[in-house]
Amino acid sequence: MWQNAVKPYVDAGEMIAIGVVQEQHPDRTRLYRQWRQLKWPIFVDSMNTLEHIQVVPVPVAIDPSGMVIHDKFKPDQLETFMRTEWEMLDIPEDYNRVTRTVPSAKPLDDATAATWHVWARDIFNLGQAEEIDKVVGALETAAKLTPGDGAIQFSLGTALRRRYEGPYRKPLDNQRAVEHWGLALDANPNHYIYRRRLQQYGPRLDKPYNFYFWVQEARADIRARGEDPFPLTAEPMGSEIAQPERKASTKSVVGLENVDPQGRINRDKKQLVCIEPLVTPSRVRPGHRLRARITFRLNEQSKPWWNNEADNIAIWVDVPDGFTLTENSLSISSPEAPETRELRQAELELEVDANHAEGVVTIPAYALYYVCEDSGGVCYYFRQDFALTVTIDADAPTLK
Amino acid sequence: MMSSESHIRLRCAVILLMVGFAFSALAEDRPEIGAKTGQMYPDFVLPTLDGDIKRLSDFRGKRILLFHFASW
Repeated sequence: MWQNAVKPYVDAGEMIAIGVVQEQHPDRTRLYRQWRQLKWPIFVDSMNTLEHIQVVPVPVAIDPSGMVIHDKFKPDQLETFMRTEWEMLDIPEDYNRVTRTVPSAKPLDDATAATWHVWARDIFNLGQAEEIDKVVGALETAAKLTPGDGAIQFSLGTALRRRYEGPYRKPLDNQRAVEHWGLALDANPNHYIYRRRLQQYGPRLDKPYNFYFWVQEARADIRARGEDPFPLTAEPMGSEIAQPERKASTKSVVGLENVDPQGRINRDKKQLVCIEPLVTPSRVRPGHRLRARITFRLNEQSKPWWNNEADNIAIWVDVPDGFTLTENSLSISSPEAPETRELRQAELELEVDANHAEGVVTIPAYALYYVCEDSGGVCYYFRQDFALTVTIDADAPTLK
Repeated sequence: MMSSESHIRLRCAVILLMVGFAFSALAEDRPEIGAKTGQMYPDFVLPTLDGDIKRLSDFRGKRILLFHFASW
């Protein structure tokens, strides 16, 4: 709507339209911008550095001096805003002007949480991608100093998720990101952006809509124009594109079978495949649902490949008493090529009984898969055990 | 009749008063910084989708639509 409304003024050079995107994955916004043929400059604020922005969208009208004319700009105010002659204020050049464009110096060991937070955000926003460990470390220090600070918890979750999607990932980064976003929402349950970051990976009941429904349509439209769509670092999958559920219902469960109850299949001791379970939310109230995403990542050093001529990955989750499996999408279709190396994911949802006792619950699970070694090409059928861990807590924040 | 010393004192007082007024007028001219209507939008520095590091203040001098959004 705004794109079309301001286009004549932007094209005539009478106005600048600037976006600020509050999103974990800026590359998805790049694709969106390409699809919509937006020419605007767009700032990326994945860590919600602009803390006063707690919801989106927020359109703001600013005059040439930098004064806010409308903090909730409406399309019917546009014409008057453009017709008015705004005078430039006579203020010093450096007033309200950020001077640094590179990260500040590292804080001293006894610095406050706020100082560590500023430094971490500086490196995240202005530094290099390979400095992500510094960002996480500084935010862990800040979170230890003030664990109830929602902004710090959110930043830490964002940094962990960013590290998870890059070459410096650590095994628990993804699950820890969800935990820290949960703590952020706990600290500020009215923060829409904190809530959305959790909903992105959470149960379908808690979703207002399927967040990235537009991606496939965008790619088709872009290709139809003869362009190549921008590639994405992390393909939206499972819960990110799942249709929301408007009311609770239990679906028929297919594809889950305990094919190795006695544990006779050989374990993947070579660690050809890394299994990364992610439970969202990590704390859930009795009567509510959680969503588990299970990611299968091939070992990046030994470079094995999926044997697509054999069966799909199979998963068994030993659903304990007090839980109901309400949905699963465990069928991971093998691509047509006989050998591939893609990331694979499966998702399922569990509902916690309304009278379930509080406490930590560990749900055992395993996966069976066909994988081949790169050197020598030896193929195996392996089993790998893993667990889904969730805390049942009557005071856990709800995602709705 | 005032002595020359009293004249000098009076002139100094007037000059000091004028400087004081000038400073207070300057301070009053500086708008409050904040995100509400009538305030000066806080400057910030962030990366852009194109990989640059920019400040909001780099765009001063024109009318701006600042649109906070997400693609989801």
